[in-house]
Amino acid sequence: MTAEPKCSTVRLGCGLTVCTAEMQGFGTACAQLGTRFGSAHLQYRSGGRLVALPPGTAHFLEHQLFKNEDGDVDYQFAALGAASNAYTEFDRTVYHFRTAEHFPEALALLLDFVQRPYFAAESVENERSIIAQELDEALDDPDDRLFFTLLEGLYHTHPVRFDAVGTHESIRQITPEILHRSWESFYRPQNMILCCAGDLHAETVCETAERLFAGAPPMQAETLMPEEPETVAHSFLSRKMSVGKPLFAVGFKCPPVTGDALERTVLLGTLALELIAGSASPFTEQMLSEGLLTDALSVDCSAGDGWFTLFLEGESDDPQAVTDALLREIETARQQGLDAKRFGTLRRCGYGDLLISRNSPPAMADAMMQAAAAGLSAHDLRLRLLRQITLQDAEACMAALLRPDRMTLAVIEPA
Amino acid sequence: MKREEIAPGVCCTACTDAKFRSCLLELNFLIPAEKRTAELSPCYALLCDLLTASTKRCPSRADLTEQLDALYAADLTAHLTSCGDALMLTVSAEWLDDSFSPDGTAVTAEMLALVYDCLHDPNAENGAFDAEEFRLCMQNLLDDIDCEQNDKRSFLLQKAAELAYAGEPAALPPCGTRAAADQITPQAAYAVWRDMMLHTAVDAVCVSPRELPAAGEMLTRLFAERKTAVPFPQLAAPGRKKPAPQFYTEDTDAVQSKLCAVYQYDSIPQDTARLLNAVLGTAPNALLFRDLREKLGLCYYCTSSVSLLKSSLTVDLGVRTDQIEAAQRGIEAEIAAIRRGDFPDALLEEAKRWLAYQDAVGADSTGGIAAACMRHTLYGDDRTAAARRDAVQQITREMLTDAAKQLRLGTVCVLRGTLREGAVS
Repeated sequence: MTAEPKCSTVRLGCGLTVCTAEMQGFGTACAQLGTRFGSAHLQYRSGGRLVALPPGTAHFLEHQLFKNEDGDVDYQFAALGAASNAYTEFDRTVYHFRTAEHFPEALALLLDFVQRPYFAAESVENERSIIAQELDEALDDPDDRLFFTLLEGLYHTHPVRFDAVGTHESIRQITPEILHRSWESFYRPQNMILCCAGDLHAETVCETAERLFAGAPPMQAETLMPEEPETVAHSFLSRKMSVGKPLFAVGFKCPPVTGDALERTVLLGTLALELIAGSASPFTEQMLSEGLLTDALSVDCSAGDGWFTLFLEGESDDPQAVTDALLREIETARQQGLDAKRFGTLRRCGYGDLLISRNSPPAMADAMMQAAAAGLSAHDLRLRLLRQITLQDAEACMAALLRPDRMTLAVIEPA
Repeated sequence: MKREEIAPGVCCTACTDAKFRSCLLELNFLIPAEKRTAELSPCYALLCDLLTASTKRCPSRADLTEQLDALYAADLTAHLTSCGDALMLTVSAEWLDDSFSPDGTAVTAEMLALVYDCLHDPNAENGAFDAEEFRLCMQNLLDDIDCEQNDKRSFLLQKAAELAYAGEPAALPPCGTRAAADQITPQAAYAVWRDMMLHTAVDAVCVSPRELPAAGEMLTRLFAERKTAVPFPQLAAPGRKKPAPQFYTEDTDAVQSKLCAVYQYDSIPQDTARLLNAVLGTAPNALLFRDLREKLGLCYYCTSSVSLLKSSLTVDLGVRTDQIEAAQRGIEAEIAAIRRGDFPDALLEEAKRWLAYQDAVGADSTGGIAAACMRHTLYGDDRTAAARRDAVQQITREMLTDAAKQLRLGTVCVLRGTLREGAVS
């Protein structure tokens, strides 16, 4: 019989939140250290001073922290047999590694290097050039552009409109001083989360973290978000790119929610969209038979501090026709209700999906990081919610969130 | 791990590992090089969709999706990959182990029946696939072919393969061309499916938390019609040597340019080739990362891959258009450095650790274990991870240097980005 992961969450004296999952039988272990400073954090108050940041600052900092006087921290992880990397989301930056050996040493390295920034001008300049290449790559990625076109359509002022990497102009504005100030403001244990999963001992993780964050200065900064109207900025937005067929996304701007309520709303909202336009829906069958779609739309959501959107993505020669049909389908569902049998199936699907997808150390650490960063009461909250929610909940959520007047259609058209 | 022949040309390897919550069954159809033709390749690509979108008992996509979702998010997919000059069509099913089914649903039994249906009783009758389902799958395939340009990196790698292996089956894109795909009929696809079920070698892998004799029994029934021996195809097919490097450049509507260089070699032992690849481009501190990215700031990604079956090593990177030549010189310089033995001892040791790490990561997922099982068929490698690590440990700097001396530049392929920064807005 498969052993269940032994999970725990503690807040250390230094303020760091530590989540662990001891996973019996796995030969590797991984650690993720996240800070609640992401690409959407472009304004903050610190010591009574208001600070504005160029888009891309959190991501630049993510790159730069891997640098030290000897070169790159990646080499030190490699010497321990570990593979390291990092990513920047809208609301957090996460540094991580995975290894089959020397886990305690690699963990110590992870906790240490984020506290030893290196902002030498030459090193920052070199990194700027690498990041510019990363941005070029993102600018050529149609899926990436579609997502940001959608967000640009949905939001007037919220910084999620900007690519996490920033723009070429904003990257040029980022100085070693800006990076240092940002690091000082946000890389504090009270603002950070450590999630470890796999072949490890929770006690060792906590001891190591307590030791390496001892004496860290307190968090003083407070992030600020601009006022965002409830309406969408543009109901339609398109770009031309080198693609074989139009790509499109239909997004609904939803009122921001936080904590457990967000998890519940995301679950209900995505279930409602799946029921209306998912792969097994009559809508999809009709779109396929009419040739408006050749594959089912994918349902997704993006949510965090001050933003929340439910959206669908797909390919079609006539995105507007698909969108019009989708809105009619939502209206019909509003009047006639959602499919009760399919709702039951999707609950089962959600349960299995959660169990299967968290069957590896990185997936488990990801789940814990997402939950802790979003302020959820438990990383497996969704399992409990799946048992509690009803069809009526989903219908109420649909009525409240899938509003035609809060919708944007984003299209990437062939150049 | 037990591998046994359960029907002529059908082998099955079963692995159990109690740490997993799900079961994985992969059926790998090994389509020999002589059947990787312009006409047949798109047929196999089409079959990937046709066989997993519906069955006779679940005649619509909605029906099949509903059934899979009801089995606690069971997954059934198929894909086609290039294996040297051959193709491998993989049908993959993953589902929650029965012990986690909260209402006692026999997920495994139902899922095995579904896999059986997909391959044995597809949505077809009178010698042809269902016309409507065929139309949908065909349109999907044509869309995929039309949209190959969307991902510039994979588009370039395919273009490089076309040039590097010109005149060989590996030059053909796995999905084939639009013109050839357009010619396929429901009858032709049906005939290819029948032929595949009867005359194509199959390597199946089942990874589960406990023994699943039912999987073997289902496979035995699935291939019960096979009466004659089906040989496993020869997969190693080194590319023809190019008398001189070939250079190709194509303009593209993109901000970033992309460069791909394919090197050929004669005879490098597999472990040495893997280590060479790690030192050059895949280990965390590989030369390409360390120098082209970190020291010169030329690129964001710069990596390499080795094809043990085609005896080739491919480097690819994204780069600013005005730095294409510098990047190409940079790649050559790194290979020259390995030929001279001019790389740190630490890098060699770390690259060895990297290979061991990859094996350890593989052992922590059902997919990784299935991939390890397939090494036997693909590369004749049935060693344990420990034996592989020990063998790699024996490789010396001199062996790596000698291997690098065999690398000959065969093809350089460039997608030249013609848009200026800020043009995509």
